[in-house]
Amino acid sequence: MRGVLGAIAVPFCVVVLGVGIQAAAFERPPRDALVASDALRELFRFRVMRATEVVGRHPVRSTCVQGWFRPLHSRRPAPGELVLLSSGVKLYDFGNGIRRIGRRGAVSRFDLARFLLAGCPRFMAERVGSQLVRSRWVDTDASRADGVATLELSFGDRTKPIGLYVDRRTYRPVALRLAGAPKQGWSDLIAGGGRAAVLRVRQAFHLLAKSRNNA
Amino acid sequence: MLEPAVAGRIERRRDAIAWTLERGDIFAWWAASRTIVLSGGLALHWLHRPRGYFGRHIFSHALGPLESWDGIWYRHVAEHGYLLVPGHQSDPAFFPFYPLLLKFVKAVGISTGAGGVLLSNLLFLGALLAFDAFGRAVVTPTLARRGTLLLAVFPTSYVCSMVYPESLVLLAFAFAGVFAVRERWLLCAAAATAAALARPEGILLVFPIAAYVVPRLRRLETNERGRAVAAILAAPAAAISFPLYLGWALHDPLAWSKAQHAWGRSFRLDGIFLAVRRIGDEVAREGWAVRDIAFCVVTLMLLAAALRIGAPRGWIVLGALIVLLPLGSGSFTSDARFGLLALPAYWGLASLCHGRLRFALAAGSSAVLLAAATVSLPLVFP
Repeated sequence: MRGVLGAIAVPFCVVVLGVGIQAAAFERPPRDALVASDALRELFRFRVMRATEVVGRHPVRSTCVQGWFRPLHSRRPAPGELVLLSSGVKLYDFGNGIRRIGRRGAVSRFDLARFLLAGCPRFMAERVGSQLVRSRWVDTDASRADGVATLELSFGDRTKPIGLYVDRRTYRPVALRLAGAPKQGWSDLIAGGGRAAVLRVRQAFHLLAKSRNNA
Repeated sequence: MLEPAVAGRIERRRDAIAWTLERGDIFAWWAASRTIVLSGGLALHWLHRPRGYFGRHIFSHALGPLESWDGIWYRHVAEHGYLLVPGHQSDPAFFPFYPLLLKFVKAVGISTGAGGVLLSNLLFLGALLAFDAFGRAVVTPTLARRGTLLLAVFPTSYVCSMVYPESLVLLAFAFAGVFAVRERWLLCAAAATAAALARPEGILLVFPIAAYVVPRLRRLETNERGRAVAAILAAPAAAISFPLYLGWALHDPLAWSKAQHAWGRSFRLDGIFLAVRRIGDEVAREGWAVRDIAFCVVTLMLLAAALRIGAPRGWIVLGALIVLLPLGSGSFTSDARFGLLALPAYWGLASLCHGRLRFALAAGSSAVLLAAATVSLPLVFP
């Protein structure tokens, strides 16, 4: 019996001491970081985001579809985001910066704001995640948006942060706010979208190849 | 009254000097091999090339190259603790014991970077001495010493001078072996605990320790038997404490495997077959994969040589699993580094180096490869 007790007691002590020492030695991540991490997990679930954006005076509807696409003049599919605005403007990013169809070079601050406010889930998640990994700084504040109890996740430039509002219970994205960089703006978000929305965007971009993993 | 105490002290000092002199070659080889690695690191710092994946910030200080790759993550854990970031490579993939030691180093006032390099080098010296003691207990003294010296200059041992936990795990493995042979079960359990908290491979100590305990179980007294079984279970118990801690701190006990997934290490049953089938693709995509594949094969061959000279089978199993299990992720990536922990391989290598000339050739070529591996650090992940 004593032998069995010893055989059990030592590993049990190892487990308890192991957990205890780790708990004493390492900082527990701040609550904000944990919440941001949960919100990130939720963001990664979606491939499509629909939004009503306001930059300046006129509201514009947008649909962001992300996945693997084969850009024109390219043989290999690349991961990226396509944003179609109700004004007909088409913005995209295949990892080489945000571009606008029909215009050469980098986009204007106005178009950049439009692209950000479209709330492409993976694009947002990449930025929040990188910031979490690097500095652990992502503020979360209780707030309300569109009558829903939300949490505001602030990230990006500390003086002019981007605020992502997520449902306090489900962490589903609800709204996005740009505090000034690149422009001031706001968008109401609806995560997810039907097959029709995806098709419409792909047709608008003249993408013949099928995208992978689209929601 | 004073005389016996003074005499005892003098005798102890004499013993210590004799002990050190007897292991003089180990100290010398450790110093020489670490000089090679540190010189390689300094050469990278001065020349700023090859550039490879390193940014300027890594070349900008003397020990930068030795603090790079996973070293950055271990330091990050020591300074900030753990956080799982979905969809990103994050730190719960790294076991806690080494960053814990880095924290102590920082508490003394040394930076985690320079302190980590110093710590790893000292732990490696301890590992060599403990491995020599272990070898003397299980193979001939000549093989044990030669195996130890070959480990000192082994090409992948450059990681033992980096901010990596390999030297800590080597030390814990060797101590677990020494204490198991001496039937000091609680100390063996402590060494196994340290190994399993430092790297997931530590859990594999179950095999060699069980191989010592099981045949002796009947002749052990009840208390001893309990301690012996506890020594077997210590490593899995320690490994379990990590997900339990992550469950408490991050509210996610599976954070380790999720983080591993983000690092491209998701294990599947047919992973080994996949890894073998994909060899061609892997080499075509990244030529350095040849290094990992070659070291995996060499390690297995050296383990076979060790088996032939009668090295303990439990340790052979551990060595084989150390290089084969990571293939479960479908890739050979880093298998060369993992193989460094297969202790019997060095006895196997020593057994193949009869005579001074062969030994000198093996040691010389190992030292050259060690230097080459160090200066190629910017080009390939260890």
